[in-house]
Amino acid sequence: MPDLLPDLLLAPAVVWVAWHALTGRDLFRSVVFFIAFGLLLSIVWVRLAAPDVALAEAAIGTGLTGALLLDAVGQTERGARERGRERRGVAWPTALAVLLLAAGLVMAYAPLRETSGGLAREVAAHLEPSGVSNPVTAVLLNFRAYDTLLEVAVLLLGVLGLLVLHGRRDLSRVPAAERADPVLSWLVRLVLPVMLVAGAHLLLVGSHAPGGAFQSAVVMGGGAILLLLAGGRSITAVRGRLLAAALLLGLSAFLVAAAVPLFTGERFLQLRGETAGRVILAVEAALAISLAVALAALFAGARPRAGSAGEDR
Amino acid sequence: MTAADWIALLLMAAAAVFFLAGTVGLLRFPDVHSRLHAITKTDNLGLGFLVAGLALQAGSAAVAVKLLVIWLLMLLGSATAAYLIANHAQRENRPGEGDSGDA
Amino acid sequence: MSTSTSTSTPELLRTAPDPTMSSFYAGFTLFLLLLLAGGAVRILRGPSRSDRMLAAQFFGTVAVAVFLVLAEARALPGLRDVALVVAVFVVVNVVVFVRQPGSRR
Repeated sequence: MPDLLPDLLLAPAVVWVAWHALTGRDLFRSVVFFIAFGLLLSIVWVRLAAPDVALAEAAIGTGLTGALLLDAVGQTERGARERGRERRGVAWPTALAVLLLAAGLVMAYAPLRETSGGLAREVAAHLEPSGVSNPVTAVLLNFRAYDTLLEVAVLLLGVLGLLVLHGRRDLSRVPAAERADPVLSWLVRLVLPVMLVAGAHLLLVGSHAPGGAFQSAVVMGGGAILLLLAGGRSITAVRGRLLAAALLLGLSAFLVAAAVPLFTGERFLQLRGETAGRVILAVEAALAISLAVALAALFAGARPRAGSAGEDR
Repeated sequence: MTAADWIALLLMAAAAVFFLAGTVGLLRFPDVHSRLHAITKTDNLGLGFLVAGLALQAGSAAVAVKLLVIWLLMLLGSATAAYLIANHAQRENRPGEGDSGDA
Repeated sequence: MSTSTSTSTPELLRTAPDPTMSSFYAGFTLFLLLLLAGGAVRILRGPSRSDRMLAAQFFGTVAVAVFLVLAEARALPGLRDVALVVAVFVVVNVVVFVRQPGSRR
């Protein structure tokens, strides 16, 4: 029973925070609650013995999405916040329908839990030849690599769409941040290498512990965002070709790794045996770089173009 | 419970004190700047004592170093964050009244 | 991370699964979760954006503490990486907050 105490506190806290994130007229407050929600959810994942998901949640849900949302909501003008989307009260019929659906799903799946142990046993059985010892990475980059490949493609499409909307094929029109702040510049100078090292660490450790390409990309993307915000003109000067190359690096590496087995007599994307581990690492490294650039591009591209917000330079 | 365990426990108890102090300050202090003051104590001293205690409990030097790195990062980050927020709050307050204000 | 490069520390400092320590950890975790609730109240009350942002920063710090304690209590070294990531991103979020395009300075 005392073991459950933290859970008894966590569960209502998660619901309470989520409630406040969804209701209320102040969008900014909702966004901050969303960030808090991400952190709480991370803790929930830990309680459910899923440190890999906790890592992903913390990095992506709290960190990256939080940054994107904060940026978006911060750009709404103070007055416009009230004039804007009129947030009505809670839509009670919808809420009720959703609750009933959730309850129905839980009741439908609960009896299944005892009979099947999920795919954990199969994954564990095939872990050895997969090339990595972290089952999550094995699933993502080997057993279900096809899904990951398509996910990366989708992400790139999203960035492409954003770049099209942004009007140029590079990010050179993103205004550099305002006058540099000495403290901030120093912070970035000190923290950016740490973030790069952390990104590399997460990448390398992903083969046997929580980590991997996505988490690494998010951390490095965060570093790029910091650089962008601290007045670093270098990021904003990333020209079209370099940007395109960086973005395509991951997907291409993945496709190459997928196609090579075709020439050695195996099937598309079949990774097995000795080389599997090394191939996975190489693909992950390329993916990490690509995705980091993609995420930074998503962030930078969402900001107003130079001159359109009264900020030139 | 070895001697090291007891020391670690005491250090972590000290950390708890600072965490509690930070929360109380966050909730009870009257404005942005004093609240910032309260939470930065949690960030550096609270986390510092916690890391010290956990480092004693760590199984290897590598882990202790990692804990130290996390603490240093947090120190740097929270100090900068406090500075940035304080500046921001002060700038926003000058023209008229504070920013947002919705309850 | 657990079995990688480590110079193991002398017997005196090595952890043993110890009932007093583990109940201390459990209590500490619970305590930290309660503090999180306190932080959430500040997010709720505001009144200014800066207040809510600093509450979010506090939330992050306590979350880091929770992850570090759980990493030790549950012998999940990966959680330290989670703590690292949270520590990094709290700062990024604050920087995003203060660096709005079009804001003066």
